[in-house]
Amino acid sequence: MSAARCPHCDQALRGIDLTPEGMGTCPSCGRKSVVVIFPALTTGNNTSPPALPDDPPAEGEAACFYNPKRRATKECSHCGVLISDAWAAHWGSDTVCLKCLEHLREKGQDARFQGSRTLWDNIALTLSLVPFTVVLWWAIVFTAPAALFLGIRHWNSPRSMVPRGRWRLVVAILLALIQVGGLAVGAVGLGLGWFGER
Amino acid sequence: MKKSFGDYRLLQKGNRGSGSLWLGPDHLLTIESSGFLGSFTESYRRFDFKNIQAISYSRTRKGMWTSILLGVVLGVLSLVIVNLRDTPAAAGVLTACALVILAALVIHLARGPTCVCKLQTAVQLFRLKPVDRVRKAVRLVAQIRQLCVTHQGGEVAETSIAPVQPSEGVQRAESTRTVDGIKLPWEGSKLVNWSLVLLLCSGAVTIGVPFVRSVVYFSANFLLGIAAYVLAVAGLTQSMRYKLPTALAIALRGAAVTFVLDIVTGYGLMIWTSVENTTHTFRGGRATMTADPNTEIYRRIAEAGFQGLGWVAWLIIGLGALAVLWGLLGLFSWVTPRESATSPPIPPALSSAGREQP
Repeated sequence: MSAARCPHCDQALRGIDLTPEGMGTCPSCGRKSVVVIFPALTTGNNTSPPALPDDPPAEGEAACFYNPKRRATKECSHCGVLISDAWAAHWGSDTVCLKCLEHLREKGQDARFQGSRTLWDNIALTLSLVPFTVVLWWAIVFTAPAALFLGIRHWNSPRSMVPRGRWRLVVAILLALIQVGGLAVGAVGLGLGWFGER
Repeated sequence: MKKSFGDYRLLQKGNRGSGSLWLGPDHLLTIESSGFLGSFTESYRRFDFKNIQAISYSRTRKGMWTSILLGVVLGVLSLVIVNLRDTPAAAGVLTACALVILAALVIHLARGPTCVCKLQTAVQLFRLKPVDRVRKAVRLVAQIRQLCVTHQGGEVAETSIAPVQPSEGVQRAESTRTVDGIKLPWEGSKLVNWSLVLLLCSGAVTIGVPFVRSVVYFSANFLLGIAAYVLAVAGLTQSMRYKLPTALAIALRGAAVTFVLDIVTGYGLMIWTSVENTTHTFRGGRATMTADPNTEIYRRIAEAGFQGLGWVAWLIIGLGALAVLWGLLGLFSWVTPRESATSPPIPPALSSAGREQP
């Protein structure tokens, strides 16, 4: 990308396609836009990846831990191995190897590297509230135990990246307990004939 | 919601789970929520300030349509409330609903026009969903502009687009057929033309429904209306890939909205008639429904007349007038001459020796 793009139709707002007055109405969709351009667009600093040295490390030079044919230029700040540029990922001021990056994102749950999270507290709360809707009252048989299980299972799981308390889990567990208790009493009552003639 | 956590400070908060925007030490963090009946997952994206190439925003029509929708609902509720003077309980409930909708409309208007805002990097054009109002977009740009410049170095080149009025003689750039994704110029369509004519006729016939107490007339109006609106919706769908004249675009979209209102009105009439007859029977009246209640309901509506329909008659007349308006508006755009691109200059005739002649 070397030109700003219309926020409506994503077409490039190139000067040659624009109205004679200048950057105005988009030529494809006809919408007027405000565009704030930064130096990165014109300098093109990020349009191509950095060149990697092809020659193997000389005698006595450190070699990349994952590819011995490349010279080591950096050190992973997580595991400490020496790596080449091809195996390095930059994250702010940190440099990590690609394997550590994968570990940090998938298993380590490092907040700096995560791409997504499942909000189990919201799911548990929604499941506990579903039976209160008029049309889905019958689902209580499934949702109440599920809400109780999820609330207990994910009590210590990471919640939203924006820190928040556990009140959703508490409410979900309390409601689920009440519903499960009601189901249990109902089942026992039906068996003992409390709700009908013996 | 928290205003800050760790190294992050809240920039913008979206509505109804559209996420939020956070300012980090050297990057922008977007949090997007998704789920059913609530946020079940969150997605995180980080944009380094040194990688942000541009931020653009443009007004959308979503705000206008939301205002119209809320206004129409408020108007219909008001009509119903006025005619429910004899049942204060129902009137009270509907009044509460109307007040809620009124509050929503006022808040919507106070927040200003809606917009779409996108952030451009070397590899993507990312929509910032929390930034859905022009005021939010202006604030966002003011907050991060200096940060981007600082991390990238250099001056900001803002291309601010004021409403541009092309001067006389300056031709607007016309879309061409050669580039994918560009809307083609509208060249007319028989489907759309017939739909507009039918819409006009249907609207005129609808206006006469409260005055002509005839099943045949009512049926003709019903069939004509169905044909007109189905063609109008089909024409609207067909025309989506073309750049329509403004009047025609308004007419087709207005016809689609009126179609929905017609369906709601018709359905409401049927339910009202059915409930009325049931109430009459329970109060000791003679049941008027025959073995085929649907036919009886249809006949009663068709032969109700202006007095029998009450305030609904004015609603029907209003809907008919709207259909006439859309038809006239669309036909107006059809008969007015469209802007044509200037033809290329005719080259001077060449002499037999191949030299140009003045």
